[in-house]
Amino acid sequence: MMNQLIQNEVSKILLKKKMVLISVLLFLFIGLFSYGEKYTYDKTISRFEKITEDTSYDWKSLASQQMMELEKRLESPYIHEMGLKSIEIQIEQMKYFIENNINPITPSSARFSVDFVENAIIMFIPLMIIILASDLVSGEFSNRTIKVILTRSVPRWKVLLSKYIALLMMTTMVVLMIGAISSFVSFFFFRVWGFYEPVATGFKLINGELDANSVIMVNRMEYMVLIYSLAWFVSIAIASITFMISVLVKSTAAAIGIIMAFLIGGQFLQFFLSDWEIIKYFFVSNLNLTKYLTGAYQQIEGMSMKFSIMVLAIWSLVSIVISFVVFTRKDVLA
Amino acid sequence: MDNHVLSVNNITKRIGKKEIIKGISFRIDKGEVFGFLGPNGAGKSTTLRMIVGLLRPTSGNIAICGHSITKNFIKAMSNVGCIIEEPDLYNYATGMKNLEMLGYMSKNISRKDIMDAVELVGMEKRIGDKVSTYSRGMKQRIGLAQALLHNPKLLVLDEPTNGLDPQGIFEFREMVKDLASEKNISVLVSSHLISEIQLMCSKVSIIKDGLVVKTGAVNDLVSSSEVYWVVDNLEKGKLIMKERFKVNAKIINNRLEAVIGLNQLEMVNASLVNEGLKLKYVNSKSKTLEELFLSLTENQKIT
Ligand SMILES: Nc1ncnc2c1ncn2[C@@H]1O[C@H](COP(=O)(O)OP(=O)(O)O)[C@@H](O)[C@H]1O
Ligand SMILES: [Mg+2]
Repeated sequence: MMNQLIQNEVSKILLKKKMVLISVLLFLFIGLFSYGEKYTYDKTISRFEKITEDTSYDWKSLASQQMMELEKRLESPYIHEMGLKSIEIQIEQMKYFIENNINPITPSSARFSVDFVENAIIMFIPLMIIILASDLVSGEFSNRTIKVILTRSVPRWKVLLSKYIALLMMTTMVVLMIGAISSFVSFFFFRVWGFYEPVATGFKLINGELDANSVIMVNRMEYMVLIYSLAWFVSIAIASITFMISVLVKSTAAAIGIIMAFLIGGQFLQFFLSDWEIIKYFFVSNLNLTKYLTGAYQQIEGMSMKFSIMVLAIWSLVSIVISFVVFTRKDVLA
Repeated sequence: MDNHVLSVNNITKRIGKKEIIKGISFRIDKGEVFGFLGPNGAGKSTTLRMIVGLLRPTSGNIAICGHSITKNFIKAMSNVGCIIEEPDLYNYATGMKNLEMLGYMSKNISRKDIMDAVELVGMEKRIGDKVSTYSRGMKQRIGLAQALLHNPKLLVLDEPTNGLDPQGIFEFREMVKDLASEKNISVLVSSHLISEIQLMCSKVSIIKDGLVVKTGAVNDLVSSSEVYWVVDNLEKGKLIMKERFKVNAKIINNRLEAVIGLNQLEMVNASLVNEGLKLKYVNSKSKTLEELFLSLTENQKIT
């Protein structure tokens, strides 16, 4: 029974051509980004060749060149404090890479698919999940089919659970698709897989300074699995919260509006009100899980991977509970 | 436990501060087509939504085949098929897919059950097309097929012929009547149209402002008429009516007055004459369901 209900929900998602839409968007953006990266890399090389008049470059000389450019930017009088910190951290990291013989320059398919997720985790990936989840329940209200599915001999909680499980399945699908599409499309541009290159991970920020003591070395493949697991976790959290909103409002447009306002508003809040303690308990402030591994600059002090995972887990659980309580008691007037 | 297919006991519904349903009770027997007649805004849809479990009654209870809709939703609903307001379907899927998805929601529905339902509503030819290409009438047929998929004992239809053309209305009505007579399915059908109730139903409840104002067999309500007789012996006439026909006649203005079914009138007249009374004058003023409806629902105010 449950299997068939889930199958129904999956067919609805597929019949609405959601996965097609998401794939098209993924191909489009990933294509664009990997082309961009290829373009930047080619430019770096041609610049290097022009400056040094040396065509037998290796990645180390490219990296030192890049470090020099970063240092030059530090001297710019127009740079604000946040940018300064962020660049200083990048320089420190670059030093570490050169000393430890890790190539941070040559683009590879595996590196791109990780970079893509690291950048997409706060906005692009949540958007894909919102496409999936926003009309899951509100859509049944707006086309009034809710009365059809709630007047069969199936308890309401089962109807809702089947929708949630279908959503989890499709969310997992989307994360896997991001991995597959970004690997293959970027390989098309870079012609390098790079799955077994070493990666340094576990940089820490202590009082705003980069600390490399806890860095561990893994290969790209392992690192990719780790990053994609984090992206999957963030996606589930976004899916659960969007799901709740979809239960609470009757129109899909309103559901999309609300979750988008959260997402965009939340990014602003953590940027402008980073001193306000409560901001760090807002789910949007905790989406960027991967930054805890790369040692990127953090706007809000005192947050850690563990903290963010806890916050997201609690938001997800509360969302699910609210969804079920409201849905099973709701008077259906649509 | 009672053996009515549907029994509604004094249900009320309050939404916000407004009491929309103020106490409605009625029962439906096996194979009965029961009409729910009332002007727009009387509370028909609200009542039907409570019967199919979409709304929770504020008080009172509803049982379908003896199972309470609030306490034993699954058992109760396995005996009900319904179309509430519009036949709403997934426009992006085919008629067949719509039926299959609902089929999965009940136990033991085979491919054959689905095909039988499709055949019953005469949609074999277009069942593979997307619902977005269907006419209103076709959607109604698919809606009916969905409602009948799991062989329910009770069919609940809320203003089912709204938006259908006359041909569609006629066909739909015949389909519903056949279901009741051949498959012994009880039907609860709401309408604001008297003609519709008169053509489809055997029993009717007239509702207004969330209250039942009259319940009865459609035939009685339609064909009963106020009759008066002018005879030489009023007392004897009254006695004959009482003893032979169990009719309580009244003596008013030197005439005998009673409300009787039109089919009885000839027999009453014959008896009066046979008993030796001199029948001088008979007058009957029959009340149509329409007049009854209007007289019951007049002075309608928007509340
Ligand atoms: N969601 C609602 N909130 C408040 N009042 C409502 C709501 N839905 C319907 N009503 C009121 O309930 C009454 C009965 O409505 P309804 O059951 O749809 O009538 P009918 O189906 O007989 O036309 C109407 O007066 C309507 O204004
Ligand atoms: Mg209505």
